[in-house]
Amino acid sequence: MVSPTKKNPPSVKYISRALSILGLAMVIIALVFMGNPLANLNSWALNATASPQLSTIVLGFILFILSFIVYITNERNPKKLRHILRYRWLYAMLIPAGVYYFVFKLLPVLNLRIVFQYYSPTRARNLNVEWLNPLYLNFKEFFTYRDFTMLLKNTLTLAVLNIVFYFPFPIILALLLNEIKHMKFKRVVQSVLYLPHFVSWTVLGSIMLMLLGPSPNGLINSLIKAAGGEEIPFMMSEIWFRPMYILELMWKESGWGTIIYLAALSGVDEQLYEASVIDGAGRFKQLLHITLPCILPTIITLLILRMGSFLDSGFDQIYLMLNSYNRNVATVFDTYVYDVGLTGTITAPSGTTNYSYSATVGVFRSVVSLLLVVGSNALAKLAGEEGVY
Amino acid sequence: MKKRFTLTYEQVEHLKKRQSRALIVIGCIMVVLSILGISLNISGARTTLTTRQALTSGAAKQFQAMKNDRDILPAGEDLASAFKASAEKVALEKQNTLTNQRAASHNERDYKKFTSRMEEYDRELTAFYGEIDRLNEEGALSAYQASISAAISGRISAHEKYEEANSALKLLKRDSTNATKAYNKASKEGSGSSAEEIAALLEASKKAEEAYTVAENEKNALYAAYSNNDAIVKSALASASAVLPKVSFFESVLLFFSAPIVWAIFAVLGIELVINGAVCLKIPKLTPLSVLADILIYDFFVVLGSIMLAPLLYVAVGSFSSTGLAQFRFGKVDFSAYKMIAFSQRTMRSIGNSFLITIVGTIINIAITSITAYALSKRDLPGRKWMMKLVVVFMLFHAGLIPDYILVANTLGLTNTYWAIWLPVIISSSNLIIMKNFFQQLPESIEESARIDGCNEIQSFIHIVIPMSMASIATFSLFYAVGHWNNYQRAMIYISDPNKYPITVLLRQVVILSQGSLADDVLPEVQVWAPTNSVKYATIMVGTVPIICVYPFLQKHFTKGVLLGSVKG
Repeated sequence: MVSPTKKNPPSVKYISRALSILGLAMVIIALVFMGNPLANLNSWALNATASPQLSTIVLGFILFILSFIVYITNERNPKKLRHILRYRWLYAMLIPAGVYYFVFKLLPVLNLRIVFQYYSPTRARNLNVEWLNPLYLNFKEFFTYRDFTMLLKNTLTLAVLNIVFYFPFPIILALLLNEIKHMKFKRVVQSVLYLPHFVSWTVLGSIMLMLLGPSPNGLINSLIKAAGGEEIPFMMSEIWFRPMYILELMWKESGWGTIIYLAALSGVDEQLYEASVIDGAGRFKQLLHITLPCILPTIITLLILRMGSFLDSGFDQIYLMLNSYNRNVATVFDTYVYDVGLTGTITAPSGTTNYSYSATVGVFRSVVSLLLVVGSNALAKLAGEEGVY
Repeated sequence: MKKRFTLTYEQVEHLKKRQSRALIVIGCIMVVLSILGISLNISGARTTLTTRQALTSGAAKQFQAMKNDRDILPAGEDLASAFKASAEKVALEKQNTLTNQRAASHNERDYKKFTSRMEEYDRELTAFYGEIDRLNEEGALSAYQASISAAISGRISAHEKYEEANSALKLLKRDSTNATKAYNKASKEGSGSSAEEIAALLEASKKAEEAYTVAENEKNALYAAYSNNDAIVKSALASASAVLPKVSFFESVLLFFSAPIVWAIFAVLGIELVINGAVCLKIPKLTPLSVLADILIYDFFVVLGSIMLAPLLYVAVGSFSSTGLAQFRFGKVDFSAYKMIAFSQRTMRSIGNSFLITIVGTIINIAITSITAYALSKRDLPGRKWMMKLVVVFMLFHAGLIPDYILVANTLGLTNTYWAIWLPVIISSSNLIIMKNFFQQLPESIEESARIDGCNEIQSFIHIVIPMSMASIATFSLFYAVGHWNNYQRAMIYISDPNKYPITVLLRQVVILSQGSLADDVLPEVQVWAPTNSVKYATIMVGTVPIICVYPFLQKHFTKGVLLGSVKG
């Protein structure tokens, strides 16, 4: 009998670690390199015995679980063992989330191998998927394709407009709301400002069409026409698309965006204000020297998170505003991926398939977003602020 | 802190009084100005506006008349159809005769020979038809289209058109002579065919020639009309553009201020300033500029609130009017649009679908998110740090639309089921993190005492934690419910069965796509009835009101629920 304080012998630790790594590697190799997990589950079930892929996955899982069993059964530290066993119910509660993250978050990432493959859904049952030659062919095609500059220009323009015009607006609103002393008025205003968030983009698109659309239905244009003016193509021109995008966004989300700033504002210490009054600060000075520095961390956090969706222009909104008149300025990564990959209204360059090519576009977007978050977080830390993680 | 200057108490009081008086004076000036402005505008700018309107509408009418004169373009189309009709007639007659002949000569001994000749005719006929189509497409149709674009730009070369029509005619004529020749040859060779047959053929070719003469006459008329019109239209366009008024910047400013509502707002601001000054004079405790800032903030929020509400109110009022415009008259509330919706199976079914998606989806979301957040909120859970890191990584990096689609549609085969809408968004990472932070703030002592009493984690979660965090759960239910009710993308991608559409997809088809010019991807099965404006408004209302109705019930939990979690996150 060993003493209770003694740890696992290193050999067991290494064996269990090696087993778990081997198991995971087998699962991933089976998913990425053997056969095609993109095929329908039914075809999997049919080929269950014949498929080396499925048997490798199962074996990998068994090894992975075995490593835990090896670790736990050889745990000579009953305290630690009890510690882990004590949380069995919590681990049980984590199972659904684990399954969700594995199936709906990890598997798509593994499926991303199609950006290096000649993949089309009709080939899904084919076990040997063609790898591209060279492997980065899709990226090469994308970067040299004529759509690339247009996409980048459109998306970046919208993103910059978003940061410059939309992002500060909720902050200003929250600061102004914070100045309202009459609580009933404040509550009514808040309710009204939050209301547009509950309106869907489809409804908003419909309303915009009824208000600003062409004349028989659009209110504003009917008025303009009745007064003898020229109709303004708010919803159907390249010039008006970007202003309308920002205005719609402001109308719908700026009120809702104030919530987090108001929460931060409510956390500001009242004593600071009292002290500043004694020092002779007016309201504007208070705003500048107390309120803003206090909510600066929140602003920076949200700005960093916003960088994560910098290239994300909002599929629903753009797609519902898109028509043949503004296609040149309104096509962004979101709608482009959808149009190329799923509807096929835009065709991929030759040598690639629609699926692989649009997945490549999507990967480019995701990677750039990730880099932007990491970069801005690092910048924020360099500037002495607290980052997101 | 630097002090640049110091004021005595009396000086401050004096300053305040001066500020108040200045505010009163400025307010009075604004009120007077606005009264002046209204009266001036009513006499001055109104007349400008009306004359401008008259001028513009007159010019527009004139312009339209000119354009109508110019638009003898349909003549081109008529010409084309005349070509086609006459040629088709001839061809049909030929065919008929041939068929009759075939029937007559069925028993004749040279039937075989005749049949081969018939086939030859058939080939010729097909060629003839093809030629007609080609002529129709290349000659007349393109001429028509070209003339439309040319009319818009105002530069038509009628001569070109003439040449085109001419060459088309030539071609047609050549082919017809060829055909006639072939006929004649064939009828000479055809020893078995009767005299009647030859006579019929002759007649047919004569008719064809007649048709060509008619067409040629029409073409000449067209050319004459075009050359005649060209000069007229040029002068008309010139005069119209001279008459059509161009609004200068100053005029537009004048017109803008002629709207009495702008002056009224100006007057209200002035009155507010006067009241501000008066109150500050009366109550010496108040600082005039601070009160002014308050007033401006209140005004700002009143204006902003009305901007937020105006579109929704417009739609609400429009749905109750019979005309479809938002002309609301008391006592004239019209429910016909809602009645129509209530009887429209499509709409009712999609609303039901939306309710199903929202309720079931929210329950799944909230159940799994809350148990996960609870488990992750235990600080001493082994492996918790790694799990949180994974959550953050997957929040920041997502694979994209296509891999998701491949997974849901191809691998799992969930298209046309609501699982495709529910499953991919079971856990929102940001909500999970905020909820986890909320659970961490709950006092641990109660749970510990429960554990001593023999509760395991699941029991204490159900019996202790959930009742304690109803506010948070209500808030996140609201978040998830809004997401599900308003979801458009996933429904559009994964659901193709019209019976399973939620209200958002239906709305897009009814309201946005029904405007033909905006829709470049209308599906054939989509639009069956053309809804009136009030029906569109009513559909919008039905798609919006249910989710807005949920909001007030959850609002009281709202501040407590989110604020606690989000600040620390």
